[in-house]
Amino acid sequence: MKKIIPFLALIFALFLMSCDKVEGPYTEVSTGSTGTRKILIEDFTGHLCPNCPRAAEAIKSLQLVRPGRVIAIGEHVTSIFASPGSGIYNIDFRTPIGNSNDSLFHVSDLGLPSGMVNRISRNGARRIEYSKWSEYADSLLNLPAEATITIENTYTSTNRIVITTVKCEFLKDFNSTYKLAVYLIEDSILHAQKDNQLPSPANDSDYVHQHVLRGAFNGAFGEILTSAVVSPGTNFTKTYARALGASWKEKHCAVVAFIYDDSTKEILQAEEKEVIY
Amino acid sequence: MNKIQLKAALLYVSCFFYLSSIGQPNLGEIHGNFQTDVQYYNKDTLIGAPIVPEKVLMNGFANLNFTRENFSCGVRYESYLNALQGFDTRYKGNGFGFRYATYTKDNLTVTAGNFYDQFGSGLIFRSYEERTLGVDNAMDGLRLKYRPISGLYLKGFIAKQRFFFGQGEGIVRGADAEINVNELSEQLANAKLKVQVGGSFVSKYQQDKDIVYKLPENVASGGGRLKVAYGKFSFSGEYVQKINDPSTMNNFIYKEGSAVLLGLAYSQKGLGINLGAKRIDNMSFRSDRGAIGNNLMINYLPALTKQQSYNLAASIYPYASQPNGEMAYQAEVIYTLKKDSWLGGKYGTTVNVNYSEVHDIDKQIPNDSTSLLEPHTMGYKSEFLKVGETVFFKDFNVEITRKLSKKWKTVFFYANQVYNIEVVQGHPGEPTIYSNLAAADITYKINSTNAIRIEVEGLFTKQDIGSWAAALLEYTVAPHWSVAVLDQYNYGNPESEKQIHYYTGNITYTQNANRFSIAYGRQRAGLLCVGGVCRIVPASNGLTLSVSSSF
Amino acid sequence: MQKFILILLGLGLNFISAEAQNKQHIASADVKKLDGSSFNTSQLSNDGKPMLVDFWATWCGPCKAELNAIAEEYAEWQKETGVKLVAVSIDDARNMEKVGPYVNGKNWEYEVLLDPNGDFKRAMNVNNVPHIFLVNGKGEIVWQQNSSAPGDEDKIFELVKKVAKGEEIK
Repeated sequence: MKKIIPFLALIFALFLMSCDKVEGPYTEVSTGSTGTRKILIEDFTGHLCPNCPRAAEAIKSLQLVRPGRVIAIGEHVTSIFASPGSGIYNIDFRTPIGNSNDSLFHVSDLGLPSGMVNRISRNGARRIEYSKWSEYADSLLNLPAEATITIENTYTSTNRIVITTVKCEFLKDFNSTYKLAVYLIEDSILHAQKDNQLPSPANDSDYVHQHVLRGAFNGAFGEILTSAVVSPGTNFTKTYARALGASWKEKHCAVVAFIYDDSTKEILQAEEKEVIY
Repeated sequence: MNKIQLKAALLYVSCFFYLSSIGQPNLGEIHGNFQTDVQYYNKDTLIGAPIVPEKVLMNGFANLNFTRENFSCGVRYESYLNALQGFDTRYKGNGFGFRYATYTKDNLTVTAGNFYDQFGSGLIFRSYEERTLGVDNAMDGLRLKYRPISGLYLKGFIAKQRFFFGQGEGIVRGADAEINVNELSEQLANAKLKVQVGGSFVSKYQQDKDIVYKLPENVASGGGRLKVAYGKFSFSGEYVQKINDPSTMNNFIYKEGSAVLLGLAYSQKGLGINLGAKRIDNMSFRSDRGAIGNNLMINYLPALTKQQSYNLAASIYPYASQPNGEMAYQAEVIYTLKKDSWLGGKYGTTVNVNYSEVHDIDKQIPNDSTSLLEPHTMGYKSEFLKVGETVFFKDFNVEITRKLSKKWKTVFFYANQVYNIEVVQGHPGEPTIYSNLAAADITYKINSTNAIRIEVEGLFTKQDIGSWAAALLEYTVAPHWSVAVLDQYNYGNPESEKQIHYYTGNITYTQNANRFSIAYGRQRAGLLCVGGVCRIVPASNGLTLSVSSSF
Repeated sequence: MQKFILILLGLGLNFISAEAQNKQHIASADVKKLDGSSFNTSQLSNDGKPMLVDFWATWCGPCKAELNAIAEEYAEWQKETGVKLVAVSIDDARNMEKVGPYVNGKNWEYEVLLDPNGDFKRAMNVNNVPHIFLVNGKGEIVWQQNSSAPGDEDKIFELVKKVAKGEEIK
C-alpha cells in the first residue's frame, strides 16, 4: 500500500490544480496603451467562406480595444471562397494585389479565414489564425514606434482621381532596404456573405464588407524608400495618383500606407487616411 | 530543425550506438521500419490538379527502436522534401519527429520524451499518429504507469504536444486509474461477471494573451467509465465532462462540454450483435484554443458509423464526428449461416447488417439577449435527451460474404445513405445527398498462387456531382506480386465536360516485410479518411513510388 | 537526389540488420483482451509450439480475406502443428466494441487482442495492415510478411510446419 501513496498524491495534486471557470461578462477591461505605433492586419477572406465573418468580428473587437491603432485590409482570395457565383454572389472582390500577396505569403494554403499581422513570421509561417490576432497585435503595439507616416489626400470628383502624398520619417538608425506600399481600400460595401452562424443555407444577403482591398498606388510590393543607412529624422515624401473604379463610393474609400523591411517583409509602421476628410 | 532538437536527437541516437557497441551476447535488439512515398506530378487541368513547382514531392519515415530487457529507446526520423500534396506545408524539411526512452521496474514504467497513449476510449485523451493523414499529436514530456497491486492500473503524465517540427503552446496534464475487479483476488478471477471501472482527469494550461476577451487558462475535464461482461453479453459506458473552453473550433463560446458513449454487445458462435449510442456536446478539446484542422487534439471522438472499406463508399461521402454536437446510434448484426444448409451453401455465408443514424443535438438560445451560437456568450443550451432536428448522416448497409467453391469467393455490398454535406464538409447551402451504393467483389483462385479479383462498384445519386461507377481488376501471384488497374468514372456529373475517368495502374512487389509499389494515374480530389479523421486530398496526376519495410 | 539517398539509406539499414542475424522477439506493449482486461504482449507464448501474430482491422478487406482463408483450415493446422494464431485488431474506439461480436459471428477460433491506440503495432514496427509474424517455440520471430494475397495461407502453413519440426527458415 505504501507504494500507492506517492502516486495518489500526484493525482490529488492534479485535481487541486485550479480550473478557471470564467464568469461573464467575458470581455477584458481595456487598458488602452498609448503610442504611435500602428499595426496592419491583413484578413484573407472570401464571400463564400462561411467562417470568415468571425475573423471580421475579431478585427472589430480589437479596434474597439485599441482605437485608431489597428488598421485592417480585407483581401479576397482563392477560387473556392472568392470566385463570383451566380445570383447574390455575383461580384468578384479579388484583386491582383491580393492574389500576389497570397501566393507569396501562402496565407490561404490551409483554407480561410486566415491572415497576417504586420506580416510577421512565427514558427516558419506568416499565416496566423484569427484567434491569435489579438495577442500578436498587443505584443506589437507595446513596442515603441520606429517610424511615422503621414498621409494627405486630394480628390477630384470630375475625373475621380485621388492624389495621395505620403511622408515617412524614420525614428532610429536603420541599415536595410525599406519599401513603402500604398493600397486603396473601400468600407461599408453591402453584398452577400456566407455565414455559418445563420441557419441553412447560411446566406447573409445584407452583409457589410469592411476595408475591402480595391487596388494599389505603387504595385503590390510598393517601391524602395531607402537601401542606405538612415539616421533618426531622415524622411521621404512620395506622391502617387490613381483613379477610383466606377462602382466605388469615394466617401467610403481610404488610403493605407505601410513601410516594411524588404529582407524580412515585416511591417514597421502603417497608416490610414480617408480619401475625403 | 533547431540545434536543441538536434542535440536531443543525437543523444537518443548515441544511446543506440553505446548500447549496441558493447559487443556481447544478449545485447538487446534493434529493430525498425521505413516508409516513403515519392510522387511525380503531371499537369492536369481537366481534374483541377494544382501546379506543383517542385514536380517531385516526398514523405519519408524511419523508425529505430532499441530494446534490452526492461529498457527501450527509439527515434523516428521524418523527411518532407517537400510534403506531398494535401499534407500541411508546415511539415517541411527533415527532423526527428519522435524520440523516447522508457524503462520498467517493479511494475513502474517511466517514459521520458515522446509517447502515445489513450485513456479509456479516448473521449478525454488520445494521443496517436496516423501518418497517411498527417495526424500526429505525440506527447512530449514525462509519463508514469504504475501497477501497485494486481488489478489496479495507474497512469499520469505532464507533456506538451507535437506541432509539426515544434510544440504546441499548451501544457497537458492527465491522470487515469483503472481497476480490473477480477484481478483483485483469486476468487474474483473465476467469477463469471467481469467488471472494470476507470476514471480520468485531464487539464490543459494555455496563457491568456488575448486583449479583447477573458479566456480560461486552465481547462479541466474529468470522466468515468465502466465495462461489464457476463457470459455472452457485454456492456461498456463512458462519460466525460469539460469546463468552459472557448476556442476557434466552437466559435469561442463559454459553454461546458460533455460526451457519452455507450455500447452493448451480444455474441455467440456464428452470431454477433452490437448496439451503440453516443452524445457529444461541445467537446472539441485541443491544447491550443486557436488550433484547427487535425492539429493539437487532446481527445478523440469516434464516429459511430460503419467504417467503409470499398473505395467509393469510403472516400466520396465519408462521415466524420462533429465535435460541436451530435447524437448517434448504431446497430450491427453479423450472422454466419450454417455450412451445407440450403441458404448457407457448401462453404457457409456471412451476413453483416449495419444501421447508423446521426443527428444534431438540441440547441436553444441560452437567454433572450443573445442569439444562438453567438461568440463570447454561453452559445446555446441543450436538453440532454432531446434529439436535434437536423440529420447529419444515415447509413443502412448489408454485406454478404459467400464462398461458392474452392475457387470462387464473393462479397456483395449494398448501402443506402443520407449525407448532410452542409455540415460534414462545411458547404453551406448545398442540398443533402441521398445515395445508393452497390458493390461486388469477386475473387477467382486460378491455382495455389495465382488469383484474379474483380471489384465493381456504383454510387447512385442525383445530388452534388452525380453518380459514379468504379471497377478494379487485380491479378495476384502469391506471395510476391500484385498488378491492379482501377477506374473511377463520374458518369453522372451534370456538367458533361466533368464526366471524367480517374484511372490508376498499380504494381506491387512484396518480399516478406518489404513492399515496393509503383502507381500511375489520376487521384480524385476528395477526402481520405482513416478511423474517422479525414484529410482533404487535392486532385493529382502522376507517378507514385512507395517503399515500406520492417526489420 | 537527396530523396533517393534517403531511400537507399533505408534499404541499406534493412540489409545490414538482415546481415546481423538479429533475432527479434515479441515486443512488450499493453493491449486489451476482448473482455476488456489489460494484457502485456510480452506474455504471449504457445508453450514451445509455433505461433502466428496477425495484425488486422475490421475495415480492412485483405486482412479479413486472409483470416477467413486460414479459419477454414485452422483446425487441421492446429492438429498437425499445434500452432496458435493471435489476431491483433488495430481498430480504434470507433470499432473496438464491434471486434468481439465480429470474431464470434465469423466463427473464428483465434485468440484476439485489441490494440486500439496502435501501441503494439508501433512496437512491432508495423507500417500497415495486414502484417503477419511467425514466431517459433523459443519466442523468436522467424518470418514476417506485410501484405496478403489469395494463396498465401498455403505458404504460411508450409512455414509453420517447418518451424514445428524445428527447421530453420531461410
